[in-house]
Amino acid sequence: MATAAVGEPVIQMDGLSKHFRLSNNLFSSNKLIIRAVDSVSMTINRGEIVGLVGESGSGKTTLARVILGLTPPSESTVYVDGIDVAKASANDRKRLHREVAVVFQDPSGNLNPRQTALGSIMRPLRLHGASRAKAKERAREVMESIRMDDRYLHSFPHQLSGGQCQRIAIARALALNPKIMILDEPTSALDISVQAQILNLLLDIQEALSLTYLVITHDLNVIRYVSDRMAVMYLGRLMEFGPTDEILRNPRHPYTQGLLAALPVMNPKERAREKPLMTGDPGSLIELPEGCRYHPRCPRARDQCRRETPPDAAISPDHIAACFYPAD
Amino acid sequence: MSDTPAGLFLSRSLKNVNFMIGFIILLSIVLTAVFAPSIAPFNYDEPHKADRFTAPNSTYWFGTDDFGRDQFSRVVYGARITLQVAIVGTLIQVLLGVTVGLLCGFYGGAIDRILMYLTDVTWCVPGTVLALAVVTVLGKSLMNSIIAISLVNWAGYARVVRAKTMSLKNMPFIETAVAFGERRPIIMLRYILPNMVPALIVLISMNLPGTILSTATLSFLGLGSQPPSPDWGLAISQGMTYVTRCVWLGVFPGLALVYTVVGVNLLGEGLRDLLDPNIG
Amino acid sequence: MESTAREELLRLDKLSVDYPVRGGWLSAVSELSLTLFKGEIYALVGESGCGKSTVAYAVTRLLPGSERVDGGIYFEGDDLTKLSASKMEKVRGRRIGMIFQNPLDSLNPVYTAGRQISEAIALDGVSRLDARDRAVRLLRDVRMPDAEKRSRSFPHELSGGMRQRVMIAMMLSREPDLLIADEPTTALDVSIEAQILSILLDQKESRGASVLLITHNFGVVAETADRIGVMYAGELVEEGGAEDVFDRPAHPYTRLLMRALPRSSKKAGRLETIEGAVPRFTDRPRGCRFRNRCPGAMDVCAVLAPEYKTVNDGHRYRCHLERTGEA
Repeated sequence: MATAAVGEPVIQMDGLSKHFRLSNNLFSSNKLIIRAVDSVSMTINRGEIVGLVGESGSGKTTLARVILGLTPPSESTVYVDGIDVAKASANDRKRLHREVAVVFQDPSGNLNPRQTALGSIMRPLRLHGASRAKAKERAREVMESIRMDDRYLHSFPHQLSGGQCQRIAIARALALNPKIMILDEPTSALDISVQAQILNLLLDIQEALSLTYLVITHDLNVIRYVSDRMAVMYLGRLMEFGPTDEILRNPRHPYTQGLLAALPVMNPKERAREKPLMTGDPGSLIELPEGCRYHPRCPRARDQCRRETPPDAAISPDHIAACFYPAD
Repeated sequence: MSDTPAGLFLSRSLKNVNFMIGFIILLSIVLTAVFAPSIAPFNYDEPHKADRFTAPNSTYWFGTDDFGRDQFSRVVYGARITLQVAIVGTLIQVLLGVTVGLLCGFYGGAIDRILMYLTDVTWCVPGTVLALAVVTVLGKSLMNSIIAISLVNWAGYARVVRAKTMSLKNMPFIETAVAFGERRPIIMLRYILPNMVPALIVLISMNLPGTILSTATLSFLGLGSQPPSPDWGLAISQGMTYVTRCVWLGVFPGLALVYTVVGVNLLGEGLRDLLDPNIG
Repeated sequence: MESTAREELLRLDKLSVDYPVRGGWLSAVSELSLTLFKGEIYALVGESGCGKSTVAYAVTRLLPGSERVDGGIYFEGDDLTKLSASKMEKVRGRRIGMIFQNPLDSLNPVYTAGRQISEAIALDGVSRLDARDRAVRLLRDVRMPDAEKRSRSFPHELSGGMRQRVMIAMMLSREPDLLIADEPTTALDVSIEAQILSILLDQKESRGASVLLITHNFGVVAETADRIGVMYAGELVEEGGAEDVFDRPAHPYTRLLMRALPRSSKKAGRLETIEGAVPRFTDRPRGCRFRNRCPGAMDVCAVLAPEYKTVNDGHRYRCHLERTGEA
């Protein structure tokens, strides 16, 4: 089986959409369509960490669920390691289950409350054909790789702290030797000191095993720390995508600029800086504006923005911004 | 070790008065039922022609009836029937309710709508009336009356299980399991069901008194157990005939029934405090 | 400039709160003393379980009732711990306003946003019609988009950020001297967070209100606070002016916490971590509560609780170590 070399694309999507139908009441036939993810094109390469940032309703979690095969795409598809997730054969699907792992936000909800840590880690191994003894051995191995004492294997989730639960969830994700990890707000529910431990652990694992990460978060500080490239989503669409340091230094999309301006400074002395605050709330997916989705909040919106949806314009070969009038 | 879920439950339950009293009552009934032959001085249908309608005395603690049968022995043997009703009735209800609830909650859509419609219909029809109809079709016997009562009472389980399944199925640990390839029937059985056990135990203990009383009612009406069964409901109805002359005939089986129901109720109250403060 | 005649608004004097647990008392807050002056934003920061929220609930007397409270809470001279329940109700809302993390739980689902605000205003004897007008004006003040229309919305029709704005408008309607905000932006998006924080700053600047801001987010602190108190395991371990504490954190815990914040790329090196987690104490222990996680712990730390050391006017920390180097 040919595996992708370092730098080759492992997750590819071109115009991916996921729409949900909401029927608002029993007697009316008009159905609301929620465009949770709308025409997103993105490529993630082997061995890199891509950060996906967005506010609530941006569709970032839906995008992750499509990649994980938890929900089928509505238009176009996602290729993961060359496999079309929407049309995968049973064998391919099995391969995807092994190669793509996930860690969600909620530390206690991430683990089955009725299972010990050992049970949680062993389950995917047993499911993919490991004997009981082999699975146990592997569980001890991954515990060592996440620097956690074996004795926690016999604990139930309620006996563990948030950080420990999150470590067990990471151990379970690692058990099957995945190539890709989807991390959905992996540290949002944790304290600062624990967040630092988990972020460092995730980075160490990524480097040691040359994994590919998609880190989904609303926290730009986390994105800045861990990611090589970052994607910004707003109301289901990709706004900007490119190298993290380039975007953070010089954001081109007005939304990215607004997000960065809203990010609290870490130094009281910089408090007085000029802050172009975004007005209003992140809009609602139910009442999407015409044209560019960001135009009602955009300080630079012109007529064209109210009529047409901007394409993903390339600013440099590796940097795109979906804006008619990107900043210089 | 006391930090495991079971250990924690044990240490807390010892402090819960309701639970302990209910548990002791229930235990006494179970023991009575199991050891009925050694506890009862006579067999329940053994007639003593010479001692008909004897008031309670040192030989016949609860007196005798029109055949001269020892009422104490009959009440003791009656515990076996009540236990049978409780176990078989609950088993049928839980099996039906949990299956329907899990399917509805997990799959949603058309399955959910059709099965929930069925559930709502059974829920709407007055219980005893529906049970009467079922017994009429199936014929009069204890087993049929248990089936009838169960067919009426499973809907409560289905609703609670459905609601609980819907809230559990979107938990991250379930999504993770789907992502590493767990199959859906396994998810229902290995992931969702175990997390419902506390709620189910509480629900069972709350439904049990109703099941016991309803079945006794059918027996009282002559549609359940048939003579010479020592069924408490049947015994009460037979006692009714002689209520002016021999009060004890109806009183003792009645007290036994009350004792059981109070015990199960206390146990249920206690369990609710111990396991799931959000239910009911 | 801050030193000129600061008037005291709230003073906690050796405040301790213990909760009953199996086999003893859990020490949530332990002999905490701090002073909040008029017209300042005081941020109480710490990780979960450090007792910062308990302080908020103790000041507003909204603790569950089974706890043990010692020490004094002086608000404009009155000891709040000694007020009758009915007098305390007059203090809450009128003189001390509260903003909580989850605005959906704090709003009544069956009334519109405007109605809930105007009812708060009507408590002070304003006519209903005037109250309605003022409610809409207040919603504008808290930057509610479409204030007029939104005043007729029910809480479930509003987004999280809008609900928090309604909650804040309710609290501001009676112009309390002290606002206690317990993680007011934790559940919100960053763009909304920035707006909410600027409303709090506005309150301070336009009418000299004081804010006791309870948060775990150092970014929020850096944006708003005049002074900072850092809590660890129920104790105030460091206190000082915002710039002082950020530039020259003196307590090892504060210093480590600052370095654990992701501020730059991984290329600049790994974050520093503090091993272990915040401990919970039943029965107040001897010695320093941070010692088992402290890289500089000494023998004395196990036996003797450290006294406060002063760095400069208003900047103090509680540690046996002399302050070494810069952050």
